Amino acid sequence: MKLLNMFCRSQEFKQRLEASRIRLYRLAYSWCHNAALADDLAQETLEKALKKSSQLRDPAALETWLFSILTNCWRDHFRRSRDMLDIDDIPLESDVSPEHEQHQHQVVSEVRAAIALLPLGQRQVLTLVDLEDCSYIEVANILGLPVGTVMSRLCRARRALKEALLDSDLIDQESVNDNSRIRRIK
Amino acid sequence: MCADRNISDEHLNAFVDGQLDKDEKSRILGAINNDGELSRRACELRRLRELVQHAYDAPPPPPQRLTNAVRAPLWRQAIAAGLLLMLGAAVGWVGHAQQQPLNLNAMYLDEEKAFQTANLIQAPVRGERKILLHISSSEPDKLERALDTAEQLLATYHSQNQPVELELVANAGGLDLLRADVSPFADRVQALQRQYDNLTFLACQTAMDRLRRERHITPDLLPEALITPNALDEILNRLQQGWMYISV
Repeated sequence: MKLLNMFCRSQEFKQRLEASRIRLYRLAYSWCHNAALADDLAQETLEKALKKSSQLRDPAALETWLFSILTNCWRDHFRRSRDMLDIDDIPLESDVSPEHEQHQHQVVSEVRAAIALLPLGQRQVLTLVDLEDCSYIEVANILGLPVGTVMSRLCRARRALKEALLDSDLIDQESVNDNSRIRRIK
Repeated sequence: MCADRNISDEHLNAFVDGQLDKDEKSRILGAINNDGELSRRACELRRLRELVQHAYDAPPPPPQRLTNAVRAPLWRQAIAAGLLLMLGAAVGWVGHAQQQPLNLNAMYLDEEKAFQTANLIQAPVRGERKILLHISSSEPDKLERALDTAEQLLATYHSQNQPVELELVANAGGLDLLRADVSPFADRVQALQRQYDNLTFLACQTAMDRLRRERHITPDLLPEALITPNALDEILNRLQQGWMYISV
């Protein structure tokens, strides 16, 4: 009976993990803007979570725990691929190609392009807060930062987004293809 | 920047994100009521939050995953690809001088799961002889050589009454061999398959997905071809199961 219980619990755990895949994928995608890599990171995170399931003390904290594993996977990915570079220094390539522009809503691609230009540290804080509704304390735990740093990064990220997105007119047709203004600095 | 000097940008962000306790919240709500500029800034922050959410409401779908089974992560595939490439080069180098098809170098895992290479004839056989041929180049010469090698292996073992199982795995450019629209050897694939039922043609799903994604081609496969989710995984699995590996 005990064995059966354990089995059921592990099945349930697997199902909860699988249910988180889509959110992990979305978050990873917002960090790297690369569907294949985001998918791999989500998969790696779930595999690690399954292996380390005993480390999860509080089942209610599953998602925060998964996000911190994802952060580690992401860091490892860069460690493996670019040993010497600080991940904060790597500019993210914007995935906004002409074909994309046709399919995607203009606002979506503009916002993604603006987010792509943020330093990674700011991008992570911003997406955890905005997409995953994490509290500042949760973000601090996930990324291993002091809460003050989380707040200042978020503040800087939103300031940059405001300059890129709100200070320009999104609907202005003439500026559709002019990405340079996204880089404009006041 | 702020009319109320006690309300910093950080504070206003925390307000928008619902991170403040009741007292702080009331204080800021009160300040917003009396200060149009502050109210405008709070609205902007909320709008930004919504823009970010909207931007990732529908991220592009992940590349098709055929199974949810545990898949080797990219770096493992990269190492495997590297190993196979090196081996392919080595085999090619040795094989270059040798014209006889059965005088092929093959790779296998020994009992300690270490990579070994040996001449196919001298390599130890555990149980039934199982061989995987791998083709990753679209050069017609190579495609033809893959079929030649498969045919000669099958014919030789057949004539010696030795049981053999052979898989021909195509990925990257090698996929051309099994594509109905471009394969220069469709008839030969069909003839070989008719003659030998212990031969399997496998096309790599990952390579097909890549064609679709990068060149917008949806490849049609020959009716003889089966699909494997990932050629490199297939090769690694077969090696683990004691198969011999030959790169064409």
